[in-house]
Amino acid sequence: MDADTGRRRLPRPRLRGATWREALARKQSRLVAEFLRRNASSKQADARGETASRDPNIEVEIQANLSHDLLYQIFMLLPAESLFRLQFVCKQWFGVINSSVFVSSHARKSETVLVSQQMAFWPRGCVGMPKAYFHFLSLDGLRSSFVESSVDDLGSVRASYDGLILGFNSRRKRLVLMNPITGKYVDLPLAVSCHHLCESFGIAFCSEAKTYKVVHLFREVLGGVGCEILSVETRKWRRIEEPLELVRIRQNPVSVGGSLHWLGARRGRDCFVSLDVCDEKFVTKQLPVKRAWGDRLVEIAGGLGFVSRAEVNALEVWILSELGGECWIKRCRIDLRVDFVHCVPVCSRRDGKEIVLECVKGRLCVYDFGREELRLVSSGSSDGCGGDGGGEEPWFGKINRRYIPHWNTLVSCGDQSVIT
Amino acid sequence: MAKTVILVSSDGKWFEIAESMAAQSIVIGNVIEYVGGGDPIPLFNVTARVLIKVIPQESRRWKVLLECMKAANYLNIEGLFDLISQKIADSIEACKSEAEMVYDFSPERRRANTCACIGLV
Repeated sequence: MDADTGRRRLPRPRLRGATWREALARKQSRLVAEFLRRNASSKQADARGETASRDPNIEVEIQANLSHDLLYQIFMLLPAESLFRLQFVCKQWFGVINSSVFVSSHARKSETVLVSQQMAFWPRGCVGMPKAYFHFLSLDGLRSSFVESSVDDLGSVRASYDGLILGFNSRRKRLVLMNPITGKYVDLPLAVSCHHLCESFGIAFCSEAKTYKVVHLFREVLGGVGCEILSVETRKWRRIEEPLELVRIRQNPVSVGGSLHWLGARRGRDCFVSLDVCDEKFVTKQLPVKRAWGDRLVEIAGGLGFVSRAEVNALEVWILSELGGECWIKRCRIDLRVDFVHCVPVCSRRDGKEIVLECVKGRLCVYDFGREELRLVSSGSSDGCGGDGGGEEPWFGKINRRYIPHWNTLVSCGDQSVIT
Repeated sequence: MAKTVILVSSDGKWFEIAESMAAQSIVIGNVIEYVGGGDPIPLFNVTARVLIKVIPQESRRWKVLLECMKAANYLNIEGLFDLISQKIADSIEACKSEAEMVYDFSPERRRANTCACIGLV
């Protein structure tokens, strides 16, 4: 927003609802403009040859000499954005990067980032259609980066799994399942439409049918909870039986091992609900401890984890030992310092060694399981991209509710449409 | 193509190397800055035999690196292999400018995305 309002120390009125979203959208478009400008200037610097550490013609050398399996090992170390550019260097590299073995093993080890549920638009207020950008936050330092979306009219991000993002058209006419890195997308029809606060979406992979499935859980008009499932192959929605327990619809489900999991709604009923997307049935299962404020289901190292609040200043992390069973094993106990009380878990890092927690005012901290220490990643009051004037309302607050964990891969979702 | 400078050793042998490589020597870098490229730069205290060992030859360095990587892979030396592949990955990452990469396909065809590439695979 403006520098003047930033410097004033008057208490700001809390922004709610539409005005909050407006403020977020304005700030996002400012960050997009800064990000694009910074990238453009760094590209110019490269063209002038200012970076001393580069070696020209390295590509020619490597092409001449390396075999398929050596390239495989090198490419496993690179992020998905670079790999998407590198696949066009030569046919051998294209073959390695697009082989299904490579794509799936690279997807398994790629790092978690957060994607904002609200897309950024830039430039705003111009004559033509503004371009839509995905807003990613990296978990070390909360640095923002923006990736242009190949689908122009996406309004919001509803779910993410395996690098695929489920987006909602802003005029609510269709759903899009797309990979933001490769730009490939699939159009999906919209069946039951209701207010976005009364529904949640989840994506999971069905190993029997070898396709991705999208699950839509929503509050029925007459009360109660309805559910429908769509297979990306057939692109048809099917109603399935309702979950036996009421679930917390507003929280995004956790997608682990071919099933989606939601926490149960009522306090005092210590259970969670799982939906296996292959046999499309809901199962209610027990949680290890009583429900409390701020507890969450998270994905930890490919398995399901539950972070509960044992006391005001301690969290307990439980892991479900096998997905079919109900045996929870206590992984560890996190004792919180005074300033870190009221932490809510956001997600875990992909290798399962760390868990990310959000504290008040959007401060992110990371707990390392191995070293058993809690460290602050971001103070939350600056925007991580060059700082703002003091006194501005930190909009990273509510990371837990406004951002979804995501990891960048080159996975494609079945039959694809390709857009440049 | 990068600019090249010509160095002349004390026994009269001429070496042509890339300017960015030559600039790693501060003395040569200063000479280039004040005199400008074009003229060959004489080095009175360095013979050809020594000069050839001292100048980093980028293609030779990469060849050595890749040979080491293949050897580490064959002998299954995990630590060395990881170290070298991380270095190569970092160099590829640093190569952000598109002019640095040698593409088989022209930029226009690249922008037409996989439609072109699928036919060639």
